[in-house]
Amino acid sequence: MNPIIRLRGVHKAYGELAVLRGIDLEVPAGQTVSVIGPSGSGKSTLLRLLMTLDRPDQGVLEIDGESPWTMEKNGSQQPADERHLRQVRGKVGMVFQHFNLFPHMSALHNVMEALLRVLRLPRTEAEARARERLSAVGLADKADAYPAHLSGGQKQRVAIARALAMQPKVMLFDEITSALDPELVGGILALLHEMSSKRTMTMVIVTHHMRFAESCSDRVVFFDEGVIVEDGAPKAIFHEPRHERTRRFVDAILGPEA
Amino acid sequence: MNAINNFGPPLLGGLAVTIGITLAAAVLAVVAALGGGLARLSYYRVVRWTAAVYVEVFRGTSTLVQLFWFYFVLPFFGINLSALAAGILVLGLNTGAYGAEVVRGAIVAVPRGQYDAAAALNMSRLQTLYRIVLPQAALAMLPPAGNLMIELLKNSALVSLITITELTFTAQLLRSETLRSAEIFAVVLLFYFLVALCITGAFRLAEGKLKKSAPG
Ligand SMILES: Nc1ncnc2c1ncn2[C@@H]1O[C@H](COP(=O)(O)OP(=O)(O)OP(=O)(O)O)[C@@H](O)[C@H]1O
Ligand SMILES: [Mg+2]
Repeated sequence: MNPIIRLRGVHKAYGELAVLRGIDLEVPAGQTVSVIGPSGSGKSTLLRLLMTLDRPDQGVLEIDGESPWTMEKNGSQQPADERHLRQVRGKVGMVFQHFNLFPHMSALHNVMEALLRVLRLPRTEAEARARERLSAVGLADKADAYPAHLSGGQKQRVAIARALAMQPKVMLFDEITSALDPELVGGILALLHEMSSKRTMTMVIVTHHMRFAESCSDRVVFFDEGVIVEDGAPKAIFHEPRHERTRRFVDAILGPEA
Repeated sequence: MNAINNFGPPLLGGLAVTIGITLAAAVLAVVAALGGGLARLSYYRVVRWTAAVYVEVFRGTSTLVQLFWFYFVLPFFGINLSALAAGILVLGLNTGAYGAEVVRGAIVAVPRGQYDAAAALNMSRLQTLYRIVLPQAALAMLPPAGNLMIELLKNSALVSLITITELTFTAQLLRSETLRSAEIFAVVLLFYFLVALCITGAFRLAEGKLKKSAPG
């Protein structure tokens, strides 16, 4: 079967700064992949490329077999139009570190907005789905609250419900617990675990919770300085890393005993 | 009080013209400000450039001279505007040029993350603009927009110089008949002040409404 995510030789620079320097990665559908690595190594940049918020400078990036930025037209590859980009983009969803909820909409309307305008669901159906998703993240009673009146953990739950309601094939999570108070982290991680155990979605999770990465993912990718240093089963990465750099990073965070 | 009794009624006609011109110019200004502000953020350089020229020309030249141009000079190029049309056009475009900067500033102040979130939900550029960005920017636009409207009201007195008998011009006429300058201009001041008060009130009201529908 074709991988749902395929990267080959992907490069991305911001000005002079080469952030991604040749990424090869294939993710089969349904897999949960954790991405770990030091700050500034390019993890967020990778997710932004997968979400099609930014485009690679070089290399191949395909979602479900299609490049978001090029399309076939009259028998040759042409720059994609907005319609093609959105058709590919619709297969991916993302949850951000700082939630990025729409402050002028209630929790319910945050979730409903794209159901109405992008998926064009009828209002009753959109509302039913939004309420159902909010209940699934434990926020049925906060549907009418505005983001300003929600805690960090609640905001992140709304953001998760909002992304899930679109039923993307691929979900991206960029350090979604790192802006939260420590006591709220566990609940969000449990929610992630629950999603990944269903195996209906492909999930790419950037996290610095090593134990979570170990217990919940099928696969861990260790990133450093814009390249994938090591890519393998969680056990292998955390307990028998093949590369010195991986070992040092894992030790520094888990402690040599772990 | 006597002043109002004596000179209020004859000045009312002028007041109505002032209010009418201000309102008409305000509508034009809002359209020009939104168009100009968005154009300055366009993907296309030509559009950005055109908008920048519009803003800089109207901000960088005297409103009075603009009025003279539209009313006295354009006819030489075959464009004949009535005094009223020229007045409304200049006042509206002038205020719109300042307003375009307000619109642009409020839009760029909307955090990057809001665009990312909208794109991640696969909203189109247009949907992102009118559902996500503009509603958030609107709140930031209102206070400076209120100031500009009051500025517009005061500038409207300039059109008396292209023969429109609005409030200030009516007062001048009345003064030359009666020579009661102090009383007449006291009433004129009061009238301008009251209209400005109404404008301030309307903007406060709108701000309160927006805030209530979008707390935080
Ligand atoms: N839009 C941008 N413009 C310029 N530089 C950028 C931009 N986005 C990211 N960078 C730079 O690219 C590098 C990699 O950033 P990225 O956010 O991908 O790292 P990261 O691995 O997610 O780090 P962290 O763990 O701190 O989130 C950083 O040095 C960052 O400053
Ligand atoms: Mg990051």
